[in-house]
Amino acid sequence: MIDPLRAIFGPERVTENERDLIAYSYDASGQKQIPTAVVFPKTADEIRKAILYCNRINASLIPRGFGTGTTAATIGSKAIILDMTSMNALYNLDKSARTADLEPGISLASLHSYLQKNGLTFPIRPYIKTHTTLGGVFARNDLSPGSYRLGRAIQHIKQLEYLDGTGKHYSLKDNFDRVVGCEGTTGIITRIIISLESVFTSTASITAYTDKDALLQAVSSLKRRSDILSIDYLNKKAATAIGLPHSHHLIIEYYSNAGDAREPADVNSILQKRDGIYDVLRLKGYQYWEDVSSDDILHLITICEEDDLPCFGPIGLSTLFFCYTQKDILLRSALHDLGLHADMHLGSAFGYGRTKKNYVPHDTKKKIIALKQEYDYGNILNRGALIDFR
Amino acid sequence: MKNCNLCGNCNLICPVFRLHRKETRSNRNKAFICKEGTPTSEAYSFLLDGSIKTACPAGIDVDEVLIKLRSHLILRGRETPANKELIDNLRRYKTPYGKKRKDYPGLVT
Repeated sequence: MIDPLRAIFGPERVTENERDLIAYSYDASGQKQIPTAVVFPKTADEIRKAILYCNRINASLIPRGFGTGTTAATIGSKAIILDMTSMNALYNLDKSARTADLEPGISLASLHSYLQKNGLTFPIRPYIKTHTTLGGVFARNDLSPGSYRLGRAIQHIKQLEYLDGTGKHYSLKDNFDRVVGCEGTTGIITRIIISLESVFTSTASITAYTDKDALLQAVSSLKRRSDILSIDYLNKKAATAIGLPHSHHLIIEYYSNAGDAREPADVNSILQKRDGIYDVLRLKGYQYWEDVSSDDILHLITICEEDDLPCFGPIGLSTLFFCYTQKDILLRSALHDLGLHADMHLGSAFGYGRTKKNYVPHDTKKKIIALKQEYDYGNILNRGALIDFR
Repeated sequence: MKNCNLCGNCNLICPVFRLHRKETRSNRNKAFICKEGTPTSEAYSFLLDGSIKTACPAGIDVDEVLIKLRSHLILRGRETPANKELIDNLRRYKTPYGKKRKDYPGLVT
């Protein structure tokens, strides 16, 4: 297998060395699957050639960024791993049009810091702060606190280039959902023009509720307002962890002056509580996170209360993150069972990958199967993730 | 190491990862080897620069675990020849290079 790959990528950018294969056998999911080879493309044409080669030998090709996903979407046994992190160019930043033309291997952290220096921002900052690439953000169609108003990652694309499972190149100006949110199963993104926002000032409030009904009423009345940027919830246990009173809390960010905190330092201090909760809970031993969505948010809050788990997240988007320690393995598997039967949905924020493919909604499955039949009939792209195809 | 979920935050400031953009021999790869816990010569393939503890959201000192793994190897006589030579040189010449310090005019001590 290695010689044809060397012919495409050159000897330096292909490996089947055991040490390298082990290093690419894991991500943050706790799973381990040893690939056959790892390649490091620098151009879309190299990826195209790799796709054609995989079609010839019927091998799976798995695009991977920093491999920090929690659902084993970027690992696979007997697969060729396409490490996209060398494709990290920023071709152009158009300040007046507020767009950036990028390759998908760019680190989200470097992008944020570069944009900040230029007075712009890309509003997607995933909740679970991991070292991620822009490609990963679009593969999962990530959400962040501001997604309540500004939408998920897909809402911030102007133009997108990708290769399908036959090596054909596409440049899209709409219908991005053909590839975004599909976790590399329908296409490999090679270039993206993203839309940016100017750095804006917001105001914020943090409010405590002793009663769950009062909390839910407050959420529903906040949802009727038009000046809300984000509505985030912290349950009693999560609030206590960050030094707040033992109550349910809402952290609300406003576009307008409606927030109690208006001075930038005060606003930051509130938002840092929201953004810092991941770090605090990790230090307390919470290392597993489940993203759970439901229209019945009271049910989610009650589960966490009964199981004595911290939880937080974008209640405005009907999604909460449940936090587990290693000792909570039974509670976690109980939630996985419940997710299959109850009116709730797991995986909508952190992706489905291989570990959560049982939770992929029927419509999404149908869409991906249809796209696979048309654009990746050989099932080359990320075989085994999200769906079982052919 | 039980509290490490290989989240990869440690690679954000890993000097090896930033230079090569490869997972192999990165901070997270070091954490993985320590998590596996099997003392092999791999334990000598990583830097002990302390960056991993700074970046770890769970505050795990992986370098400390790696040092213990190396100790196990030495106690079992399975350290690498290169490491053995380096330690011998340090004991005999006070430098890792096998010559006395005075023979290295440019050596910063």
